[in-house]
Amino acid sequence: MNNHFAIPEFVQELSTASSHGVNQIVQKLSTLLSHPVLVVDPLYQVLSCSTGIEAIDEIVIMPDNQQESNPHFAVFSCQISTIDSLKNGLANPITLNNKILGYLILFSNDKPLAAGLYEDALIYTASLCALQMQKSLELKQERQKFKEAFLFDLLYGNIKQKEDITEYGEIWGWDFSIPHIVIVFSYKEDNHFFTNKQTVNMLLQVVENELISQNFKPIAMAKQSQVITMIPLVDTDYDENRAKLEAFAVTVLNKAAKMNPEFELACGIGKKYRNPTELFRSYQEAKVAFELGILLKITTPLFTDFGLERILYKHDLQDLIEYYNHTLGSLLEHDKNHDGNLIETLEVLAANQFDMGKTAKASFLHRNTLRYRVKRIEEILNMKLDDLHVRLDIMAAFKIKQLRKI
Amino acid sequence: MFKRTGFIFNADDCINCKACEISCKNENQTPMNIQWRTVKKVAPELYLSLSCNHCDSPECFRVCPERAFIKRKDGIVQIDENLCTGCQLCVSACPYQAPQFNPETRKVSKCQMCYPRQDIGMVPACVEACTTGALNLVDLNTFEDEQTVRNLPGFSDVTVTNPSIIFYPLKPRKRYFLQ
Repeated sequence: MNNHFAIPEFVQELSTASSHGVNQIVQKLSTLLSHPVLVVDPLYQVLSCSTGIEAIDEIVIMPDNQQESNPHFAVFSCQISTIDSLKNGLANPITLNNKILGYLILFSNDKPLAAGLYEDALIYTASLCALQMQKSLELKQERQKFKEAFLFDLLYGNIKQKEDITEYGEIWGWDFSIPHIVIVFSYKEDNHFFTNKQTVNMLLQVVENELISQNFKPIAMAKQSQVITMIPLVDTDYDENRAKLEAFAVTVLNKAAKMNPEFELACGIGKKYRNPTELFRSYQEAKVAFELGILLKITTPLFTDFGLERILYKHDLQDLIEYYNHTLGSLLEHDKNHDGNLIETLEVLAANQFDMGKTAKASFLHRNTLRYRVKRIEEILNMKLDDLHVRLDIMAAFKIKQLRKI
Repeated sequence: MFKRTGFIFNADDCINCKACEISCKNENQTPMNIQWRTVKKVAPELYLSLSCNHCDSPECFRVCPERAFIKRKDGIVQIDENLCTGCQLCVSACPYQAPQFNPETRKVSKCQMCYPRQDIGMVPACVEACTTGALNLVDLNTFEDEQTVRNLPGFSDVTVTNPSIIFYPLKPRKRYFLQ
């Protein structure tokens, strides 16, 4: 056999290992070169490490920028810092079709590595990694297509059998035998064409990362300006669940606001459903809660928290206007004719559950002034404010106003 | 991402000819008292041709106890009349009066955006029949035009339901009188 066509043994071994994925390639290269090997993504987040995932939690990789930007050096040196040590390494970009998929890094526990010695091996292994990473990326994209179709059907109740949903869910490791709740995050769009897909995808990433950090298999999808997620709720304690959901929503809102401060974000939380075929209701409720939360200025609105608002938001507008004018019309008329602000006093009084003390404090009025005003309001409206029915009417009228129906 | 089919209505171009109404009736053979699409006059020179708006958050769909409604991936909201018990919750929940109750069959029916036509690449009958081109179909996920608005006077509140319809508003008209 002609020696020129001989393939080195380590190439054969790496090629064989490559069929089992990036992890195996990393392990094999590490064994062959007797040094630890890492694969990181373009943002230097560790994807695979020959010394095991546990050992690499705190690694920060600092590339030498001058060398990295120089196209003549495929391999560049970098420093890998852990909590207790700083190590020197050699990195080679993993590229496919001029797109950087990540970096392959070889590092030493003691002395710096000679680039010339390892360059060829790193370049060859990086090309094997590139093929494997591209393959898994394509697989992920294909799976994502099916995932989105399944989630769409789930959120619109198009799958009628509970067993079907449970079986489909198992494909992605989701257990729909336990109750779930739907949370909708969305940008408050003034413009109805919200085409900033990058922003929505970033929000999706924030939601997924937060779910992973809480040990959930993320069930999330992006839809127009919304990111919809489903969270399993094992606990039966309502208050505990509520606190968890609110904390989760606030964390996501804060993180997303830090990333994109120019877009205002809001959320809505639906009801918990045991049967996955009913989850579409939770989605619709979350969207209603989202809209009502914006109108009523609630950061983490839960659909279960809304009472009268649930009926009022969809009631006939003309009816609502008539009701509002019937209840508070005479007071509005009086304020208009006398340039007064009794309606504002009544609004603060209603907001403080008709408690004189609290209202006086909130509206910076003396108790006696407030008493006089309440007496005037009672005279104008021709009703007694200590009657519960009257209070209900007034509260409902102000809720109609809050919901921007007037 | 799936497409989101929706209507785009140019209020300036509608002349109240009712061709959309007639073609809808003809295509779907709806009974005499059922009209899935209607043209209504909301102001002296403003006509709106309205049907089901295939909302992103359909209220009919949310309230139906029989789960008779389906939202297809292209955004079309369909009703399975076999599942409908005629409770009419959807009729009262829809702010656009799209679902219509037929007292003879005791079932609710509504516009289904001519999905059999759309599935073979045709546009809905109402869009095809529109004499002035005021009514059209677009993919709301990709369509962009800053001149469009979400609401017009005479159209119900769009918050919560998020209907799949956008409008070109009326432009101020110039009048020329013979002296």
